[in-house]
Amino acid sequence: MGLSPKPLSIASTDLRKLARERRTIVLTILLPVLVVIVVGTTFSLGYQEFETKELVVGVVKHSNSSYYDMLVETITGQGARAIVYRDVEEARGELVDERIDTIIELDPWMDEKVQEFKRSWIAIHADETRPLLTAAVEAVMLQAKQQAVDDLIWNYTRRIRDEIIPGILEGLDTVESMMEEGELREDAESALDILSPVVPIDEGDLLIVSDMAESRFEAIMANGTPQEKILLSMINRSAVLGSLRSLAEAKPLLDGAYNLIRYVEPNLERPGVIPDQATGDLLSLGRNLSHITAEQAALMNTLLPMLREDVIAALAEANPGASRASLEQKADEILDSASDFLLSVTENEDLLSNLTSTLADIRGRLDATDLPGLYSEGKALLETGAGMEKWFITSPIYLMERPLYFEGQTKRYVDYISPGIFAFGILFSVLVYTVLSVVRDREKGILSRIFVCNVDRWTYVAGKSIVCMAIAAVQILILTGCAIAIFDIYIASIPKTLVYGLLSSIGFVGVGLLISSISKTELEALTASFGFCFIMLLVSGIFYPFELSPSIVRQASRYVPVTYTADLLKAGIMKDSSLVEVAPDLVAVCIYGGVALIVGALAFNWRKRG
Amino acid sequence: MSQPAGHELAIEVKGLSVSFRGTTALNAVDLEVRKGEVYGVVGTNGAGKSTLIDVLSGMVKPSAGSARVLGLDPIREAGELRRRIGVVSQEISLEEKLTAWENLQYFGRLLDVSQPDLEDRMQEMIRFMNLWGRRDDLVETYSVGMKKKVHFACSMVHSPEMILIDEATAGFDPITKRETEELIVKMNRDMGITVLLTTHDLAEARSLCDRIAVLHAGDIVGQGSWDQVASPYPAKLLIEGLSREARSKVEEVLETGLLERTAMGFEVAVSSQAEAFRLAGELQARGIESSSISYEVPLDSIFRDLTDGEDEDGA
Repeated sequence: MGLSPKPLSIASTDLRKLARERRTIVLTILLPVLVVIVVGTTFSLGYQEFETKELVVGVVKHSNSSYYDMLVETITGQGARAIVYRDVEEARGELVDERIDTIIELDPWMDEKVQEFKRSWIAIHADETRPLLTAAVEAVMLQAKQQAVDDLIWNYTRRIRDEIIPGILEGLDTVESMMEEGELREDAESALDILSPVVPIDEGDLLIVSDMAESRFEAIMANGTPQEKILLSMINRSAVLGSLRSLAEAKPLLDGAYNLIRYVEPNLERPGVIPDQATGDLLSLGRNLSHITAEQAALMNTLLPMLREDVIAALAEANPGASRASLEQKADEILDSASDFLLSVTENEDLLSNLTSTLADIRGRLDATDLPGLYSEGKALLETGAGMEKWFITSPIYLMERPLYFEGQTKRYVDYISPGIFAFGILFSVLVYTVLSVVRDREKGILSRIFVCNVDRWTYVAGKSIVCMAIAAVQILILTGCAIAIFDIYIASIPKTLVYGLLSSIGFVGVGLLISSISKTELEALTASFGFCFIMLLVSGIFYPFELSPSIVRQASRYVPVTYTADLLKAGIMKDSSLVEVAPDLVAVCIYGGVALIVGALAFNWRKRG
Repeated sequence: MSQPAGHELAIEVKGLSVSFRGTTALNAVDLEVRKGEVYGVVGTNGAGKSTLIDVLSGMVKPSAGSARVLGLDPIREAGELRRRIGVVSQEISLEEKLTAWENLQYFGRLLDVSQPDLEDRMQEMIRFMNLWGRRDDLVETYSVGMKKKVHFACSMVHSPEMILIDEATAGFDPITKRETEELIVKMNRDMGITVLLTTHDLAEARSLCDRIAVLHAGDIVGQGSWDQVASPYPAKLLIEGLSREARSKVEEVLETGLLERTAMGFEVAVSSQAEAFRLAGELQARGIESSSISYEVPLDSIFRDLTDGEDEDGA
């Protein structure tokens, strides 16, 4: 053939004829479009439940969750077969190689999430032109969801309703009732009265007082009057000195407590806002105050005036240049404050103890519960939970679809079958055109004339292939337009869809030549073509899920060219696959196309049969 | 009909046999067609006429024997042969959705006619067929006769030396049939194209062909010039346009047993063409004048005789 223009002459003449032949245009281009629109519309409306027999489901087991066992049991209970994988990529490889029909992958942390009432997930890995696979998987999942709701969600929810939320509410009720009765508020106000005198005292001054007291006690015991010695012997000196030191050391705590209570007091009706540091300080205060008993505090109060001169001397040493009057005033303020504080402690020992323990108790409850979240969540749950039926509960198991081609996208069923629709359109157009044109030409003697015009069969087949590729291109563009405009179908790569469709069309020309060779009339040829198309459609699983078909049909699908055409178109329509990714399907389509074209050309008859 | 150019052969067939699945279509056929002549192959349906055309055009490989067309082997030298011959099939095989012009262009290109030559040749053929005014109309709008012209033109667009015509007028009305016959004569006479045609119509063969072969069930049962084929068979001498006196003389001269009165004159049964000539000479010698003395061969009887009693429909 070489660069002979004869194939182009045949092709251009055929296209010119086609353009003038309304009947052929209707049969070869518009009818397939109509069919796919009807089919697409039908399938885009959704699907019912389907049997799942002979479905091979890969279950990815990330952990030893009990839900895996439950899922596998559910799958096998429905007549499907389950194969457990540890690695999701391994399972996806098996899915690509069609050794399994779908993959179900469970959240590795499902047990924990379900117990914590957090949203978990189950992923279905499916890539579908093999249409109702998703439906079948969903049928499995429906069962699993029912099981999960029964055994997991419902029980868990009931536990929340019956056990956890009542516990939370009890705690909240306690806090609320304490607030309502004003206990906390009264205690807080008293505590502020106690702490207020000591707050102005400087911490360093208190240490001076403590040091002076110690040296004074030693001086009394060595050189004091008898009365002083008697008085001093009546008290536990180390305890008093310890208390003074304790008072000094507790000063930051006292300041903190004072500020805490001042802050807490107006916020007591707002659980959860008390800062951690503040409540921690409060607990420390309680522990330090317990070192000073009421008796020690009273004795300290009587001893404090004895310390006046020593305190003044110490202050003078610490503040050289200060006047005597100012030193005396400061010493009196210190001693008065300390005296007032000690008196308050003496008088309000129980009150402080109560306040400390009450706040500690609140803090404990606050630490034990996430009140802001659980309070509102529990309230809401209880409000609706009383009359709640289990099917109203949204499954916390989120069903994700992770198709091979639509990674990360939500797709409808019509998207999955769109490659099949394209494959059918191309098959139908090319087949009908080829058989119609060849048989018509043969019946009219045009083939004989072409033959005696020195046209060999390869030249003729080349010409027909060009025409069919042109028709397929038009068909693909029309279908692409319909797919986008009518069904809003996602098409990853129009150029690749076009190229893969055109490659596939060559094989269909060969099939058309074969059919036209065995057919005597147009009627025979069309009948054979329709029969071939429908057999292809059923066996290749374009519209009907061969996963649900008998195994012999599923095996047969491996030998049907339309299966590989659909796979190729999937690569173009659903995923912008590279040539490497589609290489196996591409090779299969090319082999089928080449063999069909050669056999079709060899079987080709120029003359009328019979 | 043009005169044969010597004895240079356009077609030479020797012992040609063709069998399809045990059925013999042609059986040891010998045939010679001279360049420049119109040669007719006459036979009933199924006699093997179309198979002969198929073999000569290289569409069918013979089972035995040989065929040379324009000195070429139809199978081994098919490419060269098809550039030099034209084949006109029985059915009108045209692209009806194309115009006459487009049809000629299409088949001309397939026949490897170069573009400048093709343009000239297309114009020539369209004018030759008197279709210039409608060359741009779709063929489907043509009458059968016009289609037949385009059909012929497409087979001649590459200026063939010879044309093979299969059942050119079968099924046509009388007007179309006459137009087609005139076209064949014109092609042979004006263009000097050698013609081999097949027909089941002896009258057509007699009017068009220089020589004929009668094919029956794959066998050649008679061939030669028309006279050679028809002379052995009984015929009729038609004597018409006689005066009353002349009629009486005819009755006196000829044996009454041979005479049959007709509305126009007499029909005289003769055993052969030679006897007819003898009787015609005798009437002329007796001074009997008539406006018309003609010789008529009863074609149906010849056909029946050659084909073992089958009529033209093969019954």
